[in-house]
Amino acid sequence: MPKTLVSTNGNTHNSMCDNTVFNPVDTAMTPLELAAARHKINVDVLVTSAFLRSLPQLGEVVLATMPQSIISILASAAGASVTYLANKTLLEQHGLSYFEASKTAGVESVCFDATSTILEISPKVQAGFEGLGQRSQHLTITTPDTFLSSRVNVSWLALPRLSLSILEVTEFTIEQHRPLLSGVVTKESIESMVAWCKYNNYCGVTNSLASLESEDEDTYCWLVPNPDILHSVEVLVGKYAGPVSTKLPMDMLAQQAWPVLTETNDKLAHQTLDYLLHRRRWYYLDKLLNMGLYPIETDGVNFWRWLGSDGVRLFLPLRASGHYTLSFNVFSVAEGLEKATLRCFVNGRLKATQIVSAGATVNIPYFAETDGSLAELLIVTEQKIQVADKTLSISISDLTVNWEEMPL
Amino acid sequence: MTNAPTQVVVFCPLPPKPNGIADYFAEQIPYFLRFTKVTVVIENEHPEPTGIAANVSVLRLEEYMWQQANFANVPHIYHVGNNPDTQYMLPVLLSKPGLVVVHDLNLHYLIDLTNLSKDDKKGYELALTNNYGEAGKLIGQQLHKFGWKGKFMPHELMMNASIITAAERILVHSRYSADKIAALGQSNVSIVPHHFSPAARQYQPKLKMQYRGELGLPGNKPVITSMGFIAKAKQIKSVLAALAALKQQGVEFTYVLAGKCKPHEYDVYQDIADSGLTDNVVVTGFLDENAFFKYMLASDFIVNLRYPTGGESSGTLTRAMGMGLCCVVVNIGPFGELPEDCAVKLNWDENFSENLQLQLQRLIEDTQYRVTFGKNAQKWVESTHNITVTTNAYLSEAAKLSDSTTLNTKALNNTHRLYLTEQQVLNWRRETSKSFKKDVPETSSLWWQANLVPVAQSSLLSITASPLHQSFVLKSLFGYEDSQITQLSPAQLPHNSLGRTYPLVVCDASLADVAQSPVAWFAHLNKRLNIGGTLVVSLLNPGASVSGATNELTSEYPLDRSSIKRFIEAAGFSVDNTVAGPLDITMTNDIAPLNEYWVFVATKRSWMINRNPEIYQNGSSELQWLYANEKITDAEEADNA
Repeated sequence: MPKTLVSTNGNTHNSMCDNTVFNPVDTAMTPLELAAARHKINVDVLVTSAFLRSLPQLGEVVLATMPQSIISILASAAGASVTYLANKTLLEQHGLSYFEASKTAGVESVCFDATSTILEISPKVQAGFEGLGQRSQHLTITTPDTFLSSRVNVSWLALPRLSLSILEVTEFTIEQHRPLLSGVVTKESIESMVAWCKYNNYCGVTNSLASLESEDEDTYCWLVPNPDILHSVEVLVGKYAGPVSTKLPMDMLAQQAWPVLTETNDKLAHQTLDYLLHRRRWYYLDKLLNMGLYPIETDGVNFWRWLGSDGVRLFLPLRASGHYTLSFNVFSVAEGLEKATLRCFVNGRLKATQIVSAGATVNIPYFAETDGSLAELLIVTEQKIQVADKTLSISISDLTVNWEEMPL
Repeated sequence: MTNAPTQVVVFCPLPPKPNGIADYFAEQIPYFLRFTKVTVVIENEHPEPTGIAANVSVLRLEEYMWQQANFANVPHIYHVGNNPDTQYMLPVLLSKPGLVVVHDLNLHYLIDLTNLSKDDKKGYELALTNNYGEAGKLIGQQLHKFGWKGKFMPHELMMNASIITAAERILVHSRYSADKIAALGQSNVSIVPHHFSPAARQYQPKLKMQYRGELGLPGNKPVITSMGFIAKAKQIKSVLAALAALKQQGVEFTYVLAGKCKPHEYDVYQDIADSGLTDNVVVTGFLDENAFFKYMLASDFIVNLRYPTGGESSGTLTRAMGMGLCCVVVNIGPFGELPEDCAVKLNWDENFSENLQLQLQRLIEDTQYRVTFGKNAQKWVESTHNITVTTNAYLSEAAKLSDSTTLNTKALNNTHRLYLTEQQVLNWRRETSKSFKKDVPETSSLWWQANLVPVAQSSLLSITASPLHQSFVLKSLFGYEDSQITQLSPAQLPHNSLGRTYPLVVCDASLADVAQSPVAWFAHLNKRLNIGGTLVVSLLNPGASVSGATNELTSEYPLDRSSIKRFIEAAGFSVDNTVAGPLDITMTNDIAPLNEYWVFVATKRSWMINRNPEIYQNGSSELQWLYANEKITDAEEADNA
């Protein structure tokens, strides 16, 4: 497609032979480019939403992500039956506590790999460790074909990584169900993935719907089972739409560029629009995969959860790189404490130390350097008090992640 | 100092935490910094440290865990005491060997905090098992079942074995503690006295009366002081009783309890009231450092009793003695090591109360007597407790550390094992069965057919009379390399001292090997395993054979499966799985299986074994501690056998 530039006098001209590098801060961009320039997560939302809408018969989706991720919420909104795969890395990092949290959140004790093994996690035996009496747990590491052999309609497999070795052990599933496949492809594997796509009649595209062939870095990609689906997605996200002003606010942009994705009267469109307009996502406290919160409580109107004696560890998937603000409200402080000193760590860095009382809001700015990252948020308090059989400090509510759009 | 490490990581609480260990280390830091870069790791919830030099890097535990790989080759020092402020470091201490400074020998309360205080009775039972083997398990079960925990337990059961054996080196302040630790098989123990606080030099003994005025203490009566947390073990009640008797004789005094009181643990006010000394006793509550030194110097002498002792050294005592004060102590544990002319030492016997009263009276009435002790104490402390010397000793010990463990997980309290799938075992069997039978004689197959052996362990010990077969299976099926496998025969097991331990032992033996002395035999396996290691032991039960050969094993012990399980547990294991077979009994012919095998999968829980368990029906238990961090000689092996 020729790039179209808008000159300062308002005239446009095509530039097929123009070798000027496209300036991303130009006063006009295509809608998808504009969405990406404001924050890359917008592209994730739009493209995922478009794929979900374009799949002919949305059946089961198998996602290697946690239930609180954006793609999980979108998939559920689209009416998919979602199976969540365990995160082996997090299980190995956080052990049995994470295993229990994962199970509670509805995640299967299964993950995929090219070879099958069983990973047993058990408590150590030395006095001084906590949790000596916990039960051992097992993670089944298996191939997609083994796990999905009896499934009826697998529409989408979202894996952490796509490689030839994993595709080889997904052969039967691909043959039976022709599912949409997504995951990160390393730059070393791009060539082989492109060849695989050609051989299997799949179309390989990046998250911005560019051909996978054109990539030379690790990238999140989609392997699309037929060109009609890809064409539908391209149309829905306005890939080939004309440029729009960068000053166009998001609500107008959504109306203009993505009417089907955002104005259709269904949950998927409502959720898509909500993400685009409000640039934030709520976390439902009851379904939150976490380590350390006491069970949810409510007075009928408000919902809150108390921090455990060792604080709480939260896992916030941030698919796109960029600036975010992680926020939560301090709903209450335990009786006997007027205030509490909070410390918040994100991926091992102390990001906030704040003295809080009931009603305070804690905002933590965070920059995700890479796509597909996870913000591991640890919240601890300096002061605690024993209330009956619980060690309490503060309760939290309204956990949100806002993405900070770049000024254009 | 030429042999100091260039950098150290120190796990220790810091001021303003109201903890003697925090104050102790804070005083050492400037002396460390003369030679070494210091990174201190504190707990996540620690209040903002105060009074620490700006060039000390302070990390919270969460920060350290994410950066741990950067510190893998840096010597680690852990300051462990029997209090909640040192709990946070335990997972790292147990996972990454370093120099452990054991401030308190008795760590029962500290271990309690990781289980019983969290209402985890099962965890407490397992912690007891880890320390005391089968006997510990029984005590834990009693608590679980009956809610019974004897008053003796926190004093008699020190619960420090896991920490002692995890350490690469240990540093203590007394010979008493060093000897107790050496008895647990830890040979790398050094004794470094508790340093005399440099801050004490700001305070002058000649200002005694001025301090009394500031503190509201009488200038015309003897002032006797007990310093630090007011705890039952400090025998305050005994002191009150002695002073009450003196008061009745007309002796005047003021008794100061200079420290924090915890009425829910020990109601000292009740004892004061009962003794009739309400008008003579002052309870100060928690003191900051300034007030602490002034109360000390305002005193005529210090009463620093401790019974029972947890092996703890008293920083308070070092300060008091270093400032020239006469101190009264119980002649036990570390306090028994004080020179006879430097402190008044009372034996803990039937005459203790009487002697205490006599000594208190003499110290009150005889100035020369108490001043002589004070002067001797001061000279002794100055010559042996110099902070530069003691800190250099710490660094010298740290320089000897060699551990370079990188922690690959944040869940340090968990262990991971990989296993094959059942299908993989079946596939392998199908593919290799022909060549298998052709090349190697038929021997036990149950231990591998039942898929009980983890893969990808760093090394393993294979004990078998058929090394060809076992090695073939371990390599071909389970993926181990020759370099990872050490071979022994069952006959060699009691006599071979390997000088190392393994995460996995796979043993194929016969009941006949075990029959003569079951626990001792399994104890040999215990010695070969890492704590927490896996034992897969296959035992041929010739009694099940129909071959016509003699079916009777001669043994004075029962050799049924249940009994074997009890022997294994007495040898320091927990049995996690039992399989009996063969598994491949065919229904298509009338040929009965030739042999029955029993396979036990066990986890090593303790270095403590019971050589005479109840199942022997031979009297009371004989507990033996197997750990030694030096090579056992053949002679010692023969003794043990």
